[in-house]
Amino acid sequence: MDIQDASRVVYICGKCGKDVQLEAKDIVRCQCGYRILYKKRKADPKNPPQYEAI
Amino acid sequence: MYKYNFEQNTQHRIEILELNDEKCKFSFEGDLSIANAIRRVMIAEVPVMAIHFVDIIENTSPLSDEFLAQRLGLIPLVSSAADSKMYDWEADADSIDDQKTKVVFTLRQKNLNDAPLEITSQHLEPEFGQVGEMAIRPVRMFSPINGKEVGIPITRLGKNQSVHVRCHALKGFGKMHAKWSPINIATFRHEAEINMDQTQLQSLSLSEKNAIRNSCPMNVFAMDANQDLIVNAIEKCVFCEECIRSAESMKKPRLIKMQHKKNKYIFTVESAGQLKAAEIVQKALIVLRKKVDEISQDLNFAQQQQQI
Amino acid sequence: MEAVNQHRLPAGHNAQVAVMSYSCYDIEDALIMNKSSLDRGFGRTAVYKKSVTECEINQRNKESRFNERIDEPPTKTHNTKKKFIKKYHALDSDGITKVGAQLHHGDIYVNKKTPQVPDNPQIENIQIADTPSVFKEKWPYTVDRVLIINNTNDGTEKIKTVKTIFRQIRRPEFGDKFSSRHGQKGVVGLIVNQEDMPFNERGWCPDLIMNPHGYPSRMTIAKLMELLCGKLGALEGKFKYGTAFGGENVLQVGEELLKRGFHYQGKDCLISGITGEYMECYVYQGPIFYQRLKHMVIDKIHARAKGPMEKLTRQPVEGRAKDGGQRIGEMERDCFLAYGASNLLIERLLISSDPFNVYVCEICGMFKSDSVCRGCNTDKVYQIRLPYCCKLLFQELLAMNIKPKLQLVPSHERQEYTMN
Repeated sequence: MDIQDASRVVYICGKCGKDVQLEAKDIVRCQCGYRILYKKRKADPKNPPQYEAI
Repeated sequence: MYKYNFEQNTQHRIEILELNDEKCKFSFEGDLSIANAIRRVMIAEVPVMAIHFVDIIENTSPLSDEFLAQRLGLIPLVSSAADSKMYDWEADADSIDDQKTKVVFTLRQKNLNDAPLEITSQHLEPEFGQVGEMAIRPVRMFSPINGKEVGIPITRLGKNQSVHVRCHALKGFGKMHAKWSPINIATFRHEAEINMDQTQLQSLSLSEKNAIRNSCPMNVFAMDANQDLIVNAIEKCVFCEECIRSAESMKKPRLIKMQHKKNKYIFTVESAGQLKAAEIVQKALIVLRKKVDEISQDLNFAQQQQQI
Repeated sequence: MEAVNQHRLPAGHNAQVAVMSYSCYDIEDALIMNKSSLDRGFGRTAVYKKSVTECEINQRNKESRFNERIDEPPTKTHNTKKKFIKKYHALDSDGITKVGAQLHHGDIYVNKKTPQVPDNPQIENIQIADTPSVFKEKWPYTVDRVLIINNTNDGTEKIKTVKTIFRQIRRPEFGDKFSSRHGQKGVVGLIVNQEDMPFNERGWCPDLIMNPHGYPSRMTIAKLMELLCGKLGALEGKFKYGTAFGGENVLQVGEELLKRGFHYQGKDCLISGITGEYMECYVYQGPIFYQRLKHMVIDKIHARAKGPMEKLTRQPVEGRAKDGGQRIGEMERDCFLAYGASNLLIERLLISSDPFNVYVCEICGMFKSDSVCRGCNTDKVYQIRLPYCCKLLFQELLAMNIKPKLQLVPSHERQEYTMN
């Protein structure tokens, strides 16, 4: 399940590894029933963190 | 104790022993302080380009952002054209993003397959589209096994992992960070001087002579036609003093005398790929020359001021 | 090694070590490091910190509208201050920090809200208090991972837990602690540029210089063996055993080294990087496995000018975590006394600590609140300055029926010490 909407926050299920999308009022839970979700890293083209290569 | 010998050091001479793109070996006749100055400048003050700022737009690779930035920084960039660039502190604030000071590379890869994808320096794409021999680009690396071009590994991507970074390469020198140092090796050694006491040498038996010859791990000694022990390959000597130890075991401690030859130094310079080895030596001499010129200019200026 | 696969997953580096003295910054087990090695990644570590934010059910009223919750960050309007908005820069629309965001001191990483239960639960408009998780580290960290956990079926009073893991990559600096595997620990005393480091005619240059005084009293023979066997192992491209119990034979290792053009005792002739001359002795030199220890200067660095005070004594608080002061203890005080630095003593123990102005009656010798003593019916009451804890002691003595009487001496010298 690849989610296209870039502005939404996407989570990854800790068990099945699928993408999960939640609304503010939703219960934190994957379709598989697992209740630990990781936040997915998003691309940040507008204001990317800059690192010095030192 | 080091002493400057004014009479002997009037002439400096360089003789090239070995030369290719990666390696330059030459003997330098002249003063030690100048020899060391050249070595130090080669390591620390020859300007080249290297990636300094990294914008992490997306990174889901196993390596952390800082780690990735450091690895990108250490990729050697071909820098023959570095002279045409300015240091970013030399440029005024308006032209900071100008092509005068930097080269920008982008790296954008995503792995859609199950097999891991290796991201190498070949995936770095210059933004201003420079081409040709003088272009600033990552150095080419070839596999030692089959001679194919492989590139320098940066990271590996698993399935659906992606990396998108923008790298700003700036001009700098080795004193600021090791990534701006164009050398792998810049070293010199003093040539050895081995003197053998001929009267003691005559008293040795053939087997003893052979024992001394074989004691040397670098095969400096050889036998001549008269079965006499001679110094054959002095340039190989590494001052391990094994020959002296061998002579001592024959109760002849003063047979061999080993000294560092003054005024002659053998340099070995190995390039890291940014510049050709001979280019590094030349540029080091230019930097050194510039420093000396600056001093003499200042001195002239001070003298003029005093006269007024 | 093999039993736990340590050679496949090492926690350190094979440092090229030269056992020699350099620049006197290597006394007392300190190490000298090569700056270029540090640039290239020697001894770099990632430090991870975890923080847990929990949304709980309100104890007073278990209605769901009183549950703690995570809100989206405030949006920019014309009257919001820049500074206020800036704190929320790392947040996504779900009110939790982005993965990969850089957090500085004072930034908010979970925007938690706590509704206040009013006295009358029928009231519709309830007040909501801001209870965000604020980033408290002094140096910036990067958000490494964010976990959101659903606690509803745990039987706890929590609804949701957010775990945030921060990461900081640290390169070695002055005072960071390193150790070989022989208990030979030491801190970085100096970081030297590569061109100043000693080198040999092959171009070899040490990563790390260790002072030889570490050896005689500690008798770590295994470290000497590790260096020698490591050198041969590096030349051969094979694993070697540095253990004294059935490891490599040192004599054989020496012979093998000799065959490869090295000194049989593992010593090398080095050239000083500063002068270019050969050093007058041979230097014991080769690879030793070095590990970085967790004691890092950045976790311990501390300084304060002014800051929080203890309530009871009005003296500065103690400890780095509380932004405390540096204590001038009894022995330090003795040093000032012995040196005769009386003004410094007054400054450290009174002015920078707990100065207190109080009125004292010349006749009864007691503290007064203003310049009149009604008990003695006199106005011969003078203001003096003394440590607050001295005043405290006097009052405590009074409380147990001991009267410490202050005897005032009309002294012109007293004027000298009055700063006002």
